[in-house]
Amino acid sequence: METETLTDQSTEARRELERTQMLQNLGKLTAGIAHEINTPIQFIGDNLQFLSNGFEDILSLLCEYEKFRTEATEAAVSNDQHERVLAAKVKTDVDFIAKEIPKAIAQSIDGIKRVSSMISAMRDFSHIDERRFAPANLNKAIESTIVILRNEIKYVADVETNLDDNLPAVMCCIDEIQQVFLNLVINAAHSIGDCHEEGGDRGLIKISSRIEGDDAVFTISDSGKGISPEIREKIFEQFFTTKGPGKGTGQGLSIVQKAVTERHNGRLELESAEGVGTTFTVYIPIEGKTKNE
Amino acid sequence: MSEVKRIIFVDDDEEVLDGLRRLLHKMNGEWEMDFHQNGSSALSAMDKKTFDIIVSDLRMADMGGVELLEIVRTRHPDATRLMLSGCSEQPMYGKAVSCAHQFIAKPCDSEQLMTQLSRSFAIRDRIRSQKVAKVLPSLRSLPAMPAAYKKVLDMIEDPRCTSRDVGQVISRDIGMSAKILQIVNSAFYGPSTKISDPVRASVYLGIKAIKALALTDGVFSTLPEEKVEEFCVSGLQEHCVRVGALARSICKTQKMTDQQQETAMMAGILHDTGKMILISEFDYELAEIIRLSRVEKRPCHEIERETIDLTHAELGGCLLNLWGLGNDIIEAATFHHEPAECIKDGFSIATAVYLANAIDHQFCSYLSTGWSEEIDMSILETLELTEQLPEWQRVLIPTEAEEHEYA
Ligand SMILES: Nc1ncnc2c1ncn2[C@@H]1O[C@H](COP(=O)(O)OP(=O)(O)OP(=O)(O)O)[C@@H](O)[C@H]1O
Ligand SMILES: [Fe+2]
Ligand SMILES: [Fe+2]
Ligand SMILES: [Mg+2]
Repeated sequence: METETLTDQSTEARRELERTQMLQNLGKLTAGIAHEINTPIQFIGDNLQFLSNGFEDILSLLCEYEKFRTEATEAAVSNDQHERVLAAKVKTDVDFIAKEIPKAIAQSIDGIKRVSSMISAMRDFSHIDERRFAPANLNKAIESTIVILRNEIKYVADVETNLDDNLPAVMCCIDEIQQVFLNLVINAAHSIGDCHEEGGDRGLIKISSRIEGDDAVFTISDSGKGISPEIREKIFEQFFTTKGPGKGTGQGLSIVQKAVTERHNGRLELESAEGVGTTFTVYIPIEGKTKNE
Repeated sequence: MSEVKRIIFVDDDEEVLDGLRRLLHKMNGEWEMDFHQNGSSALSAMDKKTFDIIVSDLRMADMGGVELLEIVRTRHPDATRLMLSGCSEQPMYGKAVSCAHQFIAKPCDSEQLMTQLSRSFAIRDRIRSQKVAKVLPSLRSLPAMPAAYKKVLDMIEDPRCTSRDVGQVISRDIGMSAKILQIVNSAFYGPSTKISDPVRASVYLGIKAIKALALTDGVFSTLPEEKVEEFCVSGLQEHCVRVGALARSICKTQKMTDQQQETAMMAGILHDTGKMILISEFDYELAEIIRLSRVEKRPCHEIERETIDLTHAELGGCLLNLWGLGNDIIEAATFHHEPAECIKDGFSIATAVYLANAIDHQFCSYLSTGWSEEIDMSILETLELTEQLPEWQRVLIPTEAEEHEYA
């Protein structure tokens, strides 16, 4: 009885800490998320204003034409009338409007898609702390992670995904798995970011999913600076970090490891070479062979 | 300055550039516009042609907006630098604040953008002097009094000091006041109405942000001690603080709102901003101007117009305008030696500042002023305020301690 309360308490405390780390992570991302929404809203607004002006111009040109047409049916049109309608056409800049309207519409629709995908990804991250095991679409979870992190990644790396469409729903605790993806992809982006700061080229993050036996398998691979053998053992320790204050607290990988191995009875593999990059592979049992629940 | 008005836009998002290009297409006859997707291509375009205004995004791959605008500041000091950004990240503020004249937050509506651009062109037209045009836009800050700046640095390290305390110190210094108002009124911090009181500005920003700003290179700067001495800058600063207080009292007797009184106070403090610019950038010319003014018994601003083509009043007005401060403050600074302009629309904050300045020059003069004009009584008659004058003058009768200092 005694010991049970004790473990209960420490589990509670651990979860509280994990929750805090997740919230910190998301907190750091809000500026980037705002940026990703503000940008499309800017050009959608500009395009709509252009469309509105353009529509007015075209409408008044149409009126000119209409007047010209009625005049033409009543009597022979004079040179003056002809000149007037021609001047109206030149003033309207029909060529420019005609060329730009379709693009303005297409880009605006695309912009709205960008905003919506961000909003829906945010929704995926808003049910944190439900802690329920249920079948979940993990390809979608990965995609949401990438969208949420777009602003963090896009200045330093490209993302290449290779997701297996046949991946079945995985019995898991989705908020925990999402934390796993979030932490691994943030780490990958940071690692590439460090190389980039030192003058390296734009990096690449490769993310894939596949089925292997009874497991759903995910790989997150970066072309970053790699992990040196000296710290390889330490990185899973809680509070071990090589990042400066404000950038990392050293909790990411310890949470990842616990979520994957203890909570989901899965496996975590790491392959890394200094100066080449790092690959994390996550194995999650599809049927959700959980130990505790 | 070039005949054609040229703007260069830089944004790493092609769609944003397309949107702007379409939106501004109707301005084609008046403005020539270039659009670039990265800093280096913008820079090489600027080497080939002269641009009046650069509008840059903040976060861009390769060369960021801060880096770009810093390069532009040194290579093309006379270009107006605006930042159009969708970013709201705290740590970037400080640096961004020191390299851009003004910020526009994405998303901004088209009217706001057009107004901002037209306003920037209007300011440029007003800076007639070639000499000044080369210097003014490249100014990152107005120098502060070394003692006041040091006090601020000490205070931000002291856990007992509040943002209000720091604001109080800032509000007695022309350079730091102007800067903090530029920052607080920029789109990044973006209050919905303009703030014109440095104390309120400090409280609004909070001690952490003030600290970050104060420690960012280029946000605040100080005058070298020799100049402080040569031009008796502490006397000038105190003159400005008194003019602020008096302008507020005058507005109070005219039953203006609290908000207007607050603005009048700031307008008074900043009215001689141009003098600070002269002291920091044109000290050689200024010494000569002051000398001539005394010998010829003519006001400084007349001689300034002859030597550098602009008066300190106009110069200050231009900088405050470039930095996006409120219109009342800009007007008061610009016209504080032109009484006729100050009463064009009846009694205004500019009128109050004109009067406060003239009254203060009558009663207190600090060492390095030139020759001062009398108050223009005709404007008091026009506004039917002649009777009020003695009352306002009484506000200024110096206390004993002050008398000792400025006698
Ligand atoms: N993909 C990677 N490439 C290179 N080094 C990595 C990578 N992932 C993790 N590391 C190293 O492992 C350390 C621990 O990672 P972990 O995610 O636990 O903490 P953190 O990222 O430093 O901080 P937090 O995740 O709490 O913000 C990192 O500081 C980094 O040195
Ligand atoms: Fe003056
Ligand atoms: Fe003055
Ligand atoms: Mg991490």
